Amino acid sequence: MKDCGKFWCALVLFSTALSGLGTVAAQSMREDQGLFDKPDGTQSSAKMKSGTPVKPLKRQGFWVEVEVNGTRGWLKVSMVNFGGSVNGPSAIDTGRLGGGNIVSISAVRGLSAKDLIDGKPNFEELKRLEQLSSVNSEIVAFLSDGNVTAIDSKISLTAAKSIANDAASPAKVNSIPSGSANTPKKDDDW
Amino acid sequence: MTGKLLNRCVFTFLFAALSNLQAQTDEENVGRAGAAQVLGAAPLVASIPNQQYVNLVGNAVARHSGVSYKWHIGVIKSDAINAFAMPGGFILLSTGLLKGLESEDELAFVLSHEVAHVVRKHHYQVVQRQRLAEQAAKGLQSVTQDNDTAKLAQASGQIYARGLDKSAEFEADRLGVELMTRAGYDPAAALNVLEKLQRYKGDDPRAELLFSTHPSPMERMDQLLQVGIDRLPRPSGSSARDQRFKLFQRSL
Repeated sequence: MKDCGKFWCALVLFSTALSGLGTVAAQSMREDQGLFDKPDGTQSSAKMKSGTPVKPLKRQGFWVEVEVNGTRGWLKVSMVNFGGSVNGPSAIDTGRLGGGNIVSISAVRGLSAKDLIDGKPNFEELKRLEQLSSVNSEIVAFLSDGNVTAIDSKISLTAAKSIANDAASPAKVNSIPSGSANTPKKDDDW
Repeated sequence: MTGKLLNRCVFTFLFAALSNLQAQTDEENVGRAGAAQVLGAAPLVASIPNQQYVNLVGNAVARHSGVSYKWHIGVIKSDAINAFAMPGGFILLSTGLLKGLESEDELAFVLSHEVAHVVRKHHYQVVQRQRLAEQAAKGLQSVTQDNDTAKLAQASGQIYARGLDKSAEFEADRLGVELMTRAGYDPAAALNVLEKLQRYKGDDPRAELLFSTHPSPMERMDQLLQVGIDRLPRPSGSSARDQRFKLFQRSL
């Protein structure tokens, strides 16, 4: 509990220092990866091993500015293991990439709003679509070939609205993945 | 006495089963009309192996939804970045969208998002509301199932052009991530897909319809992070899975 208090103090201090930008405790690299010089930029450092501690500084859209072994750079959110921290990626939500406005240019021929409204239904193609499906034995073989192993548990993500009341445990997993050729990572291994 | 009770139970069961069947048939009819409308704008690609592949991945995630549909999933020929879910188990994915993906896990997210729309009956409910409004305007007391396919197709076209509520899209993301995770795919792929979509925004006409009908990828990612996507278990990758996806993508 004391540690928790210290953490929040540190968080507030860092937030002030960063002019309102959030920060979180050190996390780690998810995979062997070099840092990028900027969001959507080029890789500017040598590859670092997965598991290397990472200190997220701020988030800009899908990217997080991080410090790794004293070097600053950028990683995609999905490249960082946030470890399911209460103060995970959503806690360092800061800037946004660009203005986020939709620039309306003429849409691609064939699937514009106008085409969908004014177009004529194609029932011949519909017949072809109705021929497409899979049977259970094919699905089972397909999953096995691709080492896709189902999880024998009820995975549920809490609706966003209730998160404010239960920030510590948004995602609920009732049991670990069932065994197979795949060795599942730990629940918090992000 | 017992006989009467048994008869009543059997009658109730049969009535419920028939009602359910009728509802499902209506849902499928609405879905057929919607699919025909989208296919009128963009036809299916010829490659059968490609069509089989998306059906297998789609069914792999859909079987964890707890709802029984016969899924018909198709790849349509269009550079647009979009996917469509129709009531009753019909899903269409554009080649433009598929070419931008990098793994089967990412495809699993796209498909599970669409499966979630169907399972939650998002589009079907909109059609039902439109029917109610129409019936009310006509002064009829009961709602009949409108089987005028051409009319249904046109109504569906409008729904796909207008899009659903943001809440329905967020729900489809959330349930989609749950389904793909239960199936054994990596939930982090959902963030990768949204990050890719974000790149199109603002400067690519191929994504115009997608962005006019969906919340921004940033909002969608924020929602997934808020509900704890980073707490879900992550499976290991598989070279066999990577290879078959590359093969699929090369032949698009």
